[in-house]
Amino acid sequence: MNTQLFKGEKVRLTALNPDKDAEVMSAWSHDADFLHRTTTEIAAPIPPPGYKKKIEEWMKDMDKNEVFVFGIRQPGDERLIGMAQIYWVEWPHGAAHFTIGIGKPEDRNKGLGSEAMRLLLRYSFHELNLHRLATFVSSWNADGLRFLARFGFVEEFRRRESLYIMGQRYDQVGVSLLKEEWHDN
Amino acid sequence: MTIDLFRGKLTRLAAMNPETDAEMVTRWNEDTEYFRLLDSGPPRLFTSKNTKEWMEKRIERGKPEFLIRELESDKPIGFCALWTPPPQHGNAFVAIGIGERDYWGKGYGSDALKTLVRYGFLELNLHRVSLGVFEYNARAIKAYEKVGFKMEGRERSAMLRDGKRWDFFCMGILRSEWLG
Repeated sequence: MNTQLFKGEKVRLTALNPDKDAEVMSAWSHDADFLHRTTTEIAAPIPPPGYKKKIEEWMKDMDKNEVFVFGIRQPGDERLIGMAQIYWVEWPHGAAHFTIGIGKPEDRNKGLGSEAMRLLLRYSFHELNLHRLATFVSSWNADGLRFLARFGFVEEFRRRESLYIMGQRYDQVGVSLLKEEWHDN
Repeated sequence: MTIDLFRGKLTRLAAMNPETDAEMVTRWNEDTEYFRLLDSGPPRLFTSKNTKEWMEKRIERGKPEFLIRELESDKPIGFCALWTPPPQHGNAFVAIGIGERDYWGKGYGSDALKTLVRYGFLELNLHRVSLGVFEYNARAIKAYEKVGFKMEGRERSAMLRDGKRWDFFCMGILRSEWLG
């Protein structure tokens, strides 16, 4: 039995630190492209106290098993490079949603997000015992759709023209992976 | 110039009043057949006081709900709401439920939904209206298609109820489709 749920070779999943990590996350929020890739909220930079408060709320929700939050870091390096969150956990149905993001473009395309995703999937299917894991991607985000397709995520619905970004209308795409479709590798 | 925005052919949309309506809403929610057609969460038993507080919180968070009243008798028969998360995209989600069972399958729900959708397009200036419906809710799916909502896909086996897995259907109607 593989009991190492948080340690990969290139990344490790860690707790978020409300004091130190809030600064890093605030910096990410000044990149509108990053915001558009990870949220549908109105894009606006948030100061560190805002993220400190968010992190503290996530910790409270995690205490109630409503949310599972992870900071993504490299082994032996305290620098926060990304974040992942399993949320909207519907225990009776074995279903949940998730988000994942690598904050800075220069940290992407190095296999770090992929390994974090693999750890997240193993945690979801082998520890939380979920039946299905889902997320939303904007139709303009080809990188995101491609990333998820590599893990076997299936496109399930398109909310046509439900996103209005940078003067254009896009679809919100729903994708999901069912436990029987996931391979632990 | 303004048409009677809150009025349909069989029903009208009215204000939901936590003071007077909490008891009725609590009674509706205790009907688990009704609740399981409406909500994917597990039905739970709350007092009218709990319901009143929940209704007040929703109003505070900017998530008000309409009461659906039958036009002829003015009797409250259900609720409906439009929720825009977040607002800049011009998309809203519908929630609707006919709590009074005698009014199921007689066109009251689709009438109220038509009024709500019109409100969304003419007052909220939405670009589209979305909704989700459970695979086992055949009556609602038919009503939504009658109003003009199109199937946009499904969340596969998103629900487990009564020992069986069910899909969660996604539907939507665009402004151009509603106007056309």
